[in-house]
Amino acid sequence: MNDDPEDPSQPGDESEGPAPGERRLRAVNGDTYASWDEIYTDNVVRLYRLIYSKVGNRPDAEDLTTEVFLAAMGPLRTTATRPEVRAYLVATARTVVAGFWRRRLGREVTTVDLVQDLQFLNEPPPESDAPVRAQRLLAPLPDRYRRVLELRFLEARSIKETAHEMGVSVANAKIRQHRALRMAAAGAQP
Amino acid sequence: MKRRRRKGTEAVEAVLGDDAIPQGTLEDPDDVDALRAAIELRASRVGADLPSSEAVEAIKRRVLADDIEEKTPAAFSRRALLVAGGVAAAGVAGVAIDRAVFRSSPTTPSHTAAELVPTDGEWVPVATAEQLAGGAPYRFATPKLVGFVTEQNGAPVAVGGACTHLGCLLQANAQAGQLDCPCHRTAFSPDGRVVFSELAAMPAPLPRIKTRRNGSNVEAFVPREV
Repeated sequence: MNDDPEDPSQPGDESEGPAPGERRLRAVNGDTYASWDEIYTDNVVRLYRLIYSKVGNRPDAEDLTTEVFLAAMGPLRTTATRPEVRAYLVATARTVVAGFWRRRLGREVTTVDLVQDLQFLNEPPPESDAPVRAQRLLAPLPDRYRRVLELRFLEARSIKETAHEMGVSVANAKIRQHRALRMAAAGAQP
Repeated sequence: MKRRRRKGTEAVEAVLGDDAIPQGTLEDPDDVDALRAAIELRASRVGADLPSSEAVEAIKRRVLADDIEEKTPAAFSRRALLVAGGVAAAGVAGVAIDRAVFRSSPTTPSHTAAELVPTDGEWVPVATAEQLAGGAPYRFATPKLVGFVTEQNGAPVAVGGACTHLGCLLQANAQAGQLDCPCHRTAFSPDGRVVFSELAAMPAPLPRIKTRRNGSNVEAFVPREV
């Protein structure tokens, strides 16, 4: 027997090696992906978290994450490096989220920032940061406004329970919630 | 006025209920601000922004389903080329992988075992005919590769010995005639198909390794030792 891997006499070995031109070498520097599966697995949670932070609900976050992957899969080759893939995903997410708001409410309620949100994809903030982010929004508010948002958003109370807890009517609680959100948004502006 | 307020409130209530934002038009910039704050607050609960494993799977299925619907002739001929050429596998060998692999591996994991063909390989003896006689998977290791070889219908069949999920080294389970992953309750048949798996995402089948008989030895085509 010889050592020739091309030996055509071997049964079941007809498909020796790739066809010419089908093989593409790329730099093996640990910063590339081996497959689409890997691109997906490596980025799906990061991307979903980023999009959730822009839309605040699961159904839309799932739809938009799907949309970003679909839009990105065509142009992206798996030979792209990890930073290239992430940058492309963020740019795609920017377009997808902008389109979503235009169609849904006619206003861009939130936007994807190419620099900050690329940072988010590369190093997603730990979940333990969440209370800090909430506090940044809530801390500047006067007590009763902060309380209504805590009850509704952090403790998941209904508007009725919230009104009861705060000793006001439901209509009042609604108004207070709306004002509190506006104040939080104003306080969060740089 | 009343109508506008209601649309803004609806959107905020959707966020509170984890529902999709309802279709409509937000006229008042105050409503836009309030909704933005609601979204930020909602995303600031620990774990709120983490997708369930079902969601990760669902998204993947939808991405794949759409891809299959495209069915461009080009995509198919390219895939056929890749599979026929035997390149479809090996990230190991620094070969670009077509997205067809992404599509085929998770949805039909049992049918599309890839073949591991090293760019720079050599035939090395990995087992003797006697070692395979019992029909149990026989583990072999070369300096670059671990694998299992079995005799099936009179021909030697070899597969890679690392789980395709996260790379844990598989263990031969002679009683069950399968290869068990010690990490996540996953087992492969000796020819590389997934027998069962606790994972939501079905792992890909094990890559096949070329084998041949050489006298009383079974040889595998493995990466050359440098």
